[in-house]
Amino acid sequence: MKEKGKTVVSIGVVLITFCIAFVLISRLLQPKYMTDLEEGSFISQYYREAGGHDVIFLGDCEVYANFSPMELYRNNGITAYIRGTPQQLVWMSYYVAEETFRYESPRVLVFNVNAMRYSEPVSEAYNRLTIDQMRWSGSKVGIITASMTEEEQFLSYVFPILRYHSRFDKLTQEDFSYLFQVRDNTFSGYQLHTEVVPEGTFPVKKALPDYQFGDICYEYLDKIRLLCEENGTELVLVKAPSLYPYWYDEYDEQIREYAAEYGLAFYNLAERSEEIGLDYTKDTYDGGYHLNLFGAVKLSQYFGDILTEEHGVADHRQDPKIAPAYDKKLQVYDETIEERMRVEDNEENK
Amino acid sequence: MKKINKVFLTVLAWGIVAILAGCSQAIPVGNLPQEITVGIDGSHSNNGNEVKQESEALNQGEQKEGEGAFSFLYEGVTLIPGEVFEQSALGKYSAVSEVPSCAFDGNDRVYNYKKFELTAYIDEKEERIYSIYFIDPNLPTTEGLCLGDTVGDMKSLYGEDYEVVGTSYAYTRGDTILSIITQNDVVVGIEYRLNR
Repeated sequence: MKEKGKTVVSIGVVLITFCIAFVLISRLLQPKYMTDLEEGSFISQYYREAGGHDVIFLGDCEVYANFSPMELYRNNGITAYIRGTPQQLVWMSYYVAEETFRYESPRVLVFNVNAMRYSEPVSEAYNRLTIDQMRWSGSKVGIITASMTEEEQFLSYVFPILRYHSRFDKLTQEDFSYLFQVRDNTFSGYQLHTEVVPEGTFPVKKALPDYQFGDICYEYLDKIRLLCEENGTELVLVKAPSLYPYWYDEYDEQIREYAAEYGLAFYNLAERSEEIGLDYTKDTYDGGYHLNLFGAVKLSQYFGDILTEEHGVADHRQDPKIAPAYDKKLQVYDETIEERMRVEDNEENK
Repeated sequence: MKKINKVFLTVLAWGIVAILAGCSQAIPVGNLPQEITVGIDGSHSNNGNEVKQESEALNQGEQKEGEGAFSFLYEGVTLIPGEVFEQSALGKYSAVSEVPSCAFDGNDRVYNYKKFELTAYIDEKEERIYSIYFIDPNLPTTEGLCLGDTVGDMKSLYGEDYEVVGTSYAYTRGDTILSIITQNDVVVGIEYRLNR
């Protein structure tokens, strides 16, 4: 009897050792997205700040590069978080929204409509950047199923070791440094860029064979809208400023029609660049694709006023339960900007 | 007892080895994060290993370069999607931009020659033609179609063996496509491109 007990214990120890080894090796081999390709960790940074936001932004790089929640708080006292990821397609935005509503019900959900032009998954690399670090839930199962390209396998998301086993000989210091720890590389989802790369040249605006948004895009936009309705959240549609890729009038018309049909607000902020005060010789970090900090400050001031005046989003700057934490975040944000600009100035003066 | 432990330790070791070695067949793609590079728009793509393989397959496959493909003849220079782009043959471009590739990983270079725009992709340090898009309304295709011509003109030059996508007509030859975009039966866009 005693011998049998010992055997069971031994088997248990071996199984536990196997599981620990499996988890550790899996974790080691998975990309950490901390210093290299940091956009891959944006999705998981939210969990540390989840809850209590009045405004949530969803969309692709046009949201996390162009809107700064810290500026929205500084100017309007708005508590906001950006759940943007690279090439976040409409079905991805839906599942990210669904997941967000598990943690909170914001007053306004701002959806950047740029992704409406894409009806098919773009690449595994983009999928991984949005999905890899998402917490497991029905939303993660949904986003994987909806986003996978033909070459991908669901199991490789469940057991990332299946996908990343070949990284064994390519591990870097980052893989060990961030094996058990993480760091925030955004400010409430905003990716800070202080560099200035003036507007460049772009290809000509091509005539397209078909401007019609895909059925799947509308299907998931409907789902986002209904999800917002169920949760008492106002859905606001925006097109963030960008010089390229071109946002065609035919695209704009379709969004305007959709917004009118369902009584939603739609702001094409790209066509308001002058009113916002954007100067693409100074306010972009990559030649006009995205705004830098200086552009994001202007855009956030402009859009913050819209959120306050048109959508009644509250000012929390005098709220004793909220203000201290946000003031602290704002201080860290300002210090980081100061430090970055100092480093850039030093590099320029070299 | 020791025997049981040995058996389980062996199973444990083999299990790990099997996972690390055996699964490579199931998912052939490599080390994703280190292959990804950040594009000019903040987008991400890999370094082009797959492009290389695809292009090698294209070059060494059933069809030889240029054979059975659409070609665009411009001032004595023949341009064929998929073929190596000889910049010097076309003379100086008026502008060049780099954009994330629509069909390949990495970035494409878009050369503007005023009358048309040529998009090139990088294949093992060599630039290959991805597409040629017409800008000048007086620039004819090799067969003589210009922007502003009618769908009837198009059909008389290229026939009716096309595929309709929205308001565009796509003619396919080998690995190349001639895409003709129309509006109210008038040609508003002409593009030669690689079928990718």
